[in-house]
Amino acid sequence: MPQPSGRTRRPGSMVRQERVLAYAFLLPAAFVVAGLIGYPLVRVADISLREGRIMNFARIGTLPLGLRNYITVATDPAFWHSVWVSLLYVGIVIGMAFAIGLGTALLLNRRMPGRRILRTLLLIPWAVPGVVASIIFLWMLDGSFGVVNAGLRAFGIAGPPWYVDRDTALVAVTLPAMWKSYPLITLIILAALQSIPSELYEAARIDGASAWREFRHVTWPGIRGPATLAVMVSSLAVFRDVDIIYTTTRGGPSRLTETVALFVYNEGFQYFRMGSAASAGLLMVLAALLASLLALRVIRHESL
Amino acid sequence: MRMQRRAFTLGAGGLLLASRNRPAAAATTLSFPTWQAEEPGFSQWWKELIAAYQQAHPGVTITLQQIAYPNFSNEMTVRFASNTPPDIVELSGNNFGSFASQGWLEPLDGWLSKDPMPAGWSSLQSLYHWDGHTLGMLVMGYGNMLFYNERLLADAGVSPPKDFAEFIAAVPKVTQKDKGIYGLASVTAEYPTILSEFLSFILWQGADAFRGGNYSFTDPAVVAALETYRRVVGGNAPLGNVQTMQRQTFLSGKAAFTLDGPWVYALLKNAPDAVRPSLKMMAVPFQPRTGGAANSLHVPAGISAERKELAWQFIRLAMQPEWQRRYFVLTSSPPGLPGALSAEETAAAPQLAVVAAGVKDAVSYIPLLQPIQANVNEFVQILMRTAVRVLTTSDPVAQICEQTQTELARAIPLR
Repeated sequence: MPQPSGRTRRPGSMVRQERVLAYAFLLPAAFVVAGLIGYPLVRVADISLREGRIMNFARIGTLPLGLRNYITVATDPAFWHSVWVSLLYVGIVIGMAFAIGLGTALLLNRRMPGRRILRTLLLIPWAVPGVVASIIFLWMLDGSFGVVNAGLRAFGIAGPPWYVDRDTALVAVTLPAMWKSYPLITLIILAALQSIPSELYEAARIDGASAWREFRHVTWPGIRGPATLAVMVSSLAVFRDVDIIYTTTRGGPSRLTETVALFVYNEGFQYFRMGSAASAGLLMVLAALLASLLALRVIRHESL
Repeated sequence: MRMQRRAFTLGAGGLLLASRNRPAAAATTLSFPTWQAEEPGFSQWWKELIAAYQQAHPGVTITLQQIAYPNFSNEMTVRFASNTPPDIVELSGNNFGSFASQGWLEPLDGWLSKDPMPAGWSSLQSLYHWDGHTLGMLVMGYGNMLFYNERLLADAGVSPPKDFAEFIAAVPKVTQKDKGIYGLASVTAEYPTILSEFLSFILWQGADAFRGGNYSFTDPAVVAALETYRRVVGGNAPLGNVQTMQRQTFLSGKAAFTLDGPWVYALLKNAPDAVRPSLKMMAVPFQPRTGGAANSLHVPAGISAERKELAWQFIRLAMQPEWQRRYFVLTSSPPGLPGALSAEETAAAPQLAVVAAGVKDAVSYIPLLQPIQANVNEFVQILMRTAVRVLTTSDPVAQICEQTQTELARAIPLR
């Protein structure tokens, strides 16, 4: 069979040697990954299968193995409630952050005065620690002295104590999370927008496309992949977030803002039930992994 | 000059004390993590105490390690769980039971039989009795103090209260929500210190939510007490406040009363000039005086006998009256021996006498029932939810109490 022109067939032993060399180069990194990610995961899986309540890691291996922790977690209404809260929390935060992030990216992609400064300012919320962002919003939404309720009072409306009211607490905790999340989305989408050739827009305009059609047929196909990536990365960050909810509501009132991440934290470090915490944590990791795989499939599909 | 003399006296005292039963030690380093290594007043006391200890124990060095308070409990949990505890252990009041129930703390009875605590030691030391043993030494045990704004009270035509009835009558008289003035600044969000006022309100009205060592939240007297809590706190304090916001509300002159620990006295100087002269502190004029243990010192179980001995020597030094006095003077917070102040020291800082009165015969607002202490965080979580529900909803209090009782009995059985 003729070989493609310009390519020579390498002997099998050379290919094997190259492959061995490649694996040898990968080996140190593989060890580091196994040590930093694999080992803790195996330990967490081991703890999740140990039946009994013990906090001494040196003696935890003496406990019998079993599935009781998983059964306890799976039959605990508080866990399923936290799953529901997590879905709502991630959905609301990412939905709002994506809308704002997309809007600001489109705005900053236009030529306008002060664009560079605005791009820098945009990143500030991303750099602010979650606890600080939470305290800012805690004061702004304070029921008695907060600027939001002061504004509402000016219109004759009595604002609620946002973070302790059962009807508003979940919305209130999403605000600092959304404020912190949207800059990354903006940044990724903005980078994608700048890689769309301007000729495509010119062609669309010559064809008489409206702004909406231009967005739908030129902009969106150009940013769909990076936007999915931004949503995936931000969703994972929000999904495992503890500091914002812990600082603002600690999961209250009446567990209405208790996400899975907070449930795991409480089980492990508040109630010392490491087995339940580990099993709920592993379920959380699996859920995040599944979501990531799904998102990766979408991204791969987009890039083909 | 006087400071130098005092430091010398304390150092020499420590030297003399530590020279008794001193174990042989050469080039030993003891780790001591605390959240107070950089806190004004407290930091100075720890450093002076460590210096005196090291002077008395040549070859032994204590490494003071700062860990931020929000991370402290988690870090200690991980260190103990992985069998690498620090040599000298400081715990906050709420964490003691969790650590004691794991068998992580060494009983001090053997040492205490030779060197008992000084006479007049705080009643709050009883928090550290566990399975018939003493597992720790109280560093700071506080009684709640009543802070009030003299001007707001005068404007409303009321005097500082002399009993609980006067207090709950005074609070609504000051409240003018339309002007942003509140009778009370309290913790009214799901924040652990909400329990101090919540459980104290029950005790101050003569009710008992843990009658005979059982949960008795459905007791009509407890339900009535919590109806009062809803009316007084829910109706007259800004809702949704965590501790910093509670204090800020009071310091900015927007609330007539606040119940808090004595360390808040040091914060009064941060109030605006127009407000500061009106802010006063008094011992809570209701019985029983409620309070708690802020922190304590312990010897960990999982270290060598020699290190345990050295850790105990440190605790023993801290217990001595001269160091207890020094603690009170430097921190304005009541130590385990709050009556140790000299007349000269009291004259120089009169508020210390008020603080000492506030902690006299104080009882812990968290009941000293071992299952509750061992699961105190879960207990606090459940009651935090109850307190906020009482304050922010119109659900019948009796119904809330019944559900709380069921939840507590299921999560932390007492029998």
